[in-house]
Amino acid sequence: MNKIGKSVSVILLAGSLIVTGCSSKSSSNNKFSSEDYKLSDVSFPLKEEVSLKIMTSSSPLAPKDPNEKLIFQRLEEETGVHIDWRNYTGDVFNEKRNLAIASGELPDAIFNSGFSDYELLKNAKDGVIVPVEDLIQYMPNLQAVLEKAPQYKAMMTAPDGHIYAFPWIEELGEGKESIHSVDAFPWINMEWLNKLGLKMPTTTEELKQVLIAFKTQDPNGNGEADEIPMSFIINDGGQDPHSLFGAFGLGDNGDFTVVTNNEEVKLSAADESYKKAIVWLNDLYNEGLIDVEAFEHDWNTYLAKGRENRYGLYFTWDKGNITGMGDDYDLLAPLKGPEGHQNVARSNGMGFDRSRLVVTSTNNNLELTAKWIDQLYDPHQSVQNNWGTYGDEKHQNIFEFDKSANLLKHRPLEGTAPVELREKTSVGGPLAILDSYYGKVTTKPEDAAWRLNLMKEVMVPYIEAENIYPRVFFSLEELDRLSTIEADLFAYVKRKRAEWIANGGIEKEWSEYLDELDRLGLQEWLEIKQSGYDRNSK
Amino acid sequence: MQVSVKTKGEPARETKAVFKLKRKMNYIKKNYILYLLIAPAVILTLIFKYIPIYGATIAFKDFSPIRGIMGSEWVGLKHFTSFLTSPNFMEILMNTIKLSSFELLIGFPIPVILALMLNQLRKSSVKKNIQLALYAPHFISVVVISGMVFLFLSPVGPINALLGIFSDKPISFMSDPDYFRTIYIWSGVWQGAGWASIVYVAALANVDPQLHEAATLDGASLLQRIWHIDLPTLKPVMAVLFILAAGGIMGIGFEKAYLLQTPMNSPSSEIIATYVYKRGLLAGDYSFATAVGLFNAVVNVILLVFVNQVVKKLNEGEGLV
Repeated sequence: MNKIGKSVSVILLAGSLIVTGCSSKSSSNNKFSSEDYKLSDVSFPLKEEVSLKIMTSSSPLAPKDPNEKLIFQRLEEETGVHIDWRNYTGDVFNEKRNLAIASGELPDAIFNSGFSDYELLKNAKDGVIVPVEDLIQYMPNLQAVLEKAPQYKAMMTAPDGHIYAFPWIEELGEGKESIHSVDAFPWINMEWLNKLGLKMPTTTEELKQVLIAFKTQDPNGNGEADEIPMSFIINDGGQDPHSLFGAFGLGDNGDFTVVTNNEEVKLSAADESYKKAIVWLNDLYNEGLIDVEAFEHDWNTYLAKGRENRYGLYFTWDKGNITGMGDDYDLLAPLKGPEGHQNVARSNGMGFDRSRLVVTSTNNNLELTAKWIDQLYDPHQSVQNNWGTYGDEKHQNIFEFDKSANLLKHRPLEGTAPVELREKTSVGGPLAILDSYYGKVTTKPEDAAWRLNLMKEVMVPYIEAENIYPRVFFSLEELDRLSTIEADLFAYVKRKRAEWIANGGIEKEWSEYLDELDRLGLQEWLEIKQSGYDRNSK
Repeated sequence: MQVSVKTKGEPARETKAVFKLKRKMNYIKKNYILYLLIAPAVILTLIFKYIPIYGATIAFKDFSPIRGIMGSEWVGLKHFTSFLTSPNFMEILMNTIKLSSFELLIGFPIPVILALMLNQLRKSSVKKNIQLALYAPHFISVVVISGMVFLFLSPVGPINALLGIFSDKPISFMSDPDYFRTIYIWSGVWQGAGWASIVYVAALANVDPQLHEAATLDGASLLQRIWHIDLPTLKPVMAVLFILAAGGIMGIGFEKAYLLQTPMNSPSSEIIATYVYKRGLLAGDYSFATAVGLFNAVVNVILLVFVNQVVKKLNEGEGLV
């Protein structure tokens, strides 16, 4: 072989290292979706059992085969539809789901699909999933839900007028009193406070003094300075300390998007109050009051330390999941900052998830699928799918069923962490629980009722914001820009925030930081977000 | 054959060409066993290395899984422009180049030094045991290695406990971008150096002992003997291994960088491979990720040719290509 030939072959070989490997398959008929059963005017139970092939995700705590869950066993009995599940745990699901789509191995439907709006519209444009608005005619239960709560129809509908997915709706409290208003509740160690004879801190400075006392005065009495005065998981939703930022002004939430009372959309992380809050947290860190692992530990480590009661102050949605429902921890009310602000920013969370189930273009049994999905919107079914069931002999039961009142009553949790129990027995997916169901169909879950009450009494009086950023359904072009910008912008914001709390330097770098935010596209992001907000509130 | 050649009117050249072809066919026929022997390798390379190149066309398309590779719409260089103009492009590219070239520069000489040192050990039982201890880490999975790194370097881990004697503020190794490359490279050296030294140890075994004896008689010191006898023996092996290592320079291991990555060290740990994974598999942006991968491969080829030229210069005209 001559020299040039050799060079060319080496270059080609090197070229073949490229990341590739997507194959295309015709998707009309394959073993991943079910055959056409030629059923029309479907009514349950079916005379002859048929099966649908559905992909789903579940918690690692749940059984690997969802058909082991009592809820699905009962559903199969009632409908005569057997489901062949392809189930992955949450941590690998996105990857597996995307791979299945890319290789054309489409199931009939994807349950707990978890698509972002961008992915939803892109898959619709690519012809992976089909619009479902025409299926709603087969779905009396969903129709009933949309009649009672018509606002959700608009939230389900994409800017192009189609509905691409079946949503999850869970109403718990309205407006400021919604259970989602504040996600990261700060929990303070009452036992330590009482032992050291301290009173509940009400200002940021008092909190600092309390934390110093936790650190130096050995409140757990074991002679070792192993107390962790304050801990959190940075940038991790409910475990992040953003609920304290309100003491300095505007405040901060999990997605850095806040709406002022003048209906102006702002990035909380570009606000002067954000800077002051970080300076304060950095001071706490320098005093050794913040867990040194706060910037890298994961949920399991966080939980392990919490279970040993080593925290003086920590953040999470519900203390029951970390330190238990006992009285040793209590909710810390919003603090008064050095400039007199006493506020807490609202999270943009709400009990609505647009994409809980999508129907793929390889589905040959649309009517059957729609009618099966409609079963999930039955009030009693929705309630169980969301939380868990009754009459299960293998697991602790969430409910007991009162036949005479046709009511699913929540049973006491008896110390079980609510999230764990739900993940084991509930199924999630598309469902609707409206505020009007409480008392008629079910009772409020103990922990939700308790949390709603805390929200109302402790947090709501200090919430200044009248608005949250709603679930605007952007167009594909807008989402394309937003996701491109956010990939860089949010990564940068999150990194700087952690860096500044640990190492300081925010005052020096602040103007440089604001310039960098602009370079990463902040102005365009604000523009898109604002126009979406204006469109939505009209 | 003869007739057709004559009618075409160029008898002399055609005959010569046919003759050449015939001779080649004869040669192949005679040695067909050898061709049979190489066939599986050629076929495998074709199937797994060349045919997938066809999939790289989606870098120039808006890939839609339903329409397939051929059916998707052509968009030209859209994805390349979008990558090259993205705000973090330079950071990711420089991270990739820095991480891989430092790894090459630090990771390459150490196995050589290790082999030279092992070669000096006279007692073979000691040598065997030391070698065994050096090879062992190679067999640990990279996931486990990363887990160990996190444990050892945690703010409450053993390294910080030791450092705690000198200062009271623990160092967050894993969340400081300044430490990332050091951790990545030295944990790699610890894991791989012993294994990589095998080739060199074997090459050194071929050194004629008479050379060493003669040099000792002439009064050469140990270092002089290593410099003038052992190293020249290793030189050809080193040249080939260096070029091979340089070939993989942009294909730097994705797993380890991804496993050691935390949001806080991303300014130095975000490399092209991890970026492709996040955009391609996690976000499902296949066309964009393929464009980035293709770009990576092109940079790789350029680097490979460059390294090959440099090695040729240093190694008296002997390179890989």
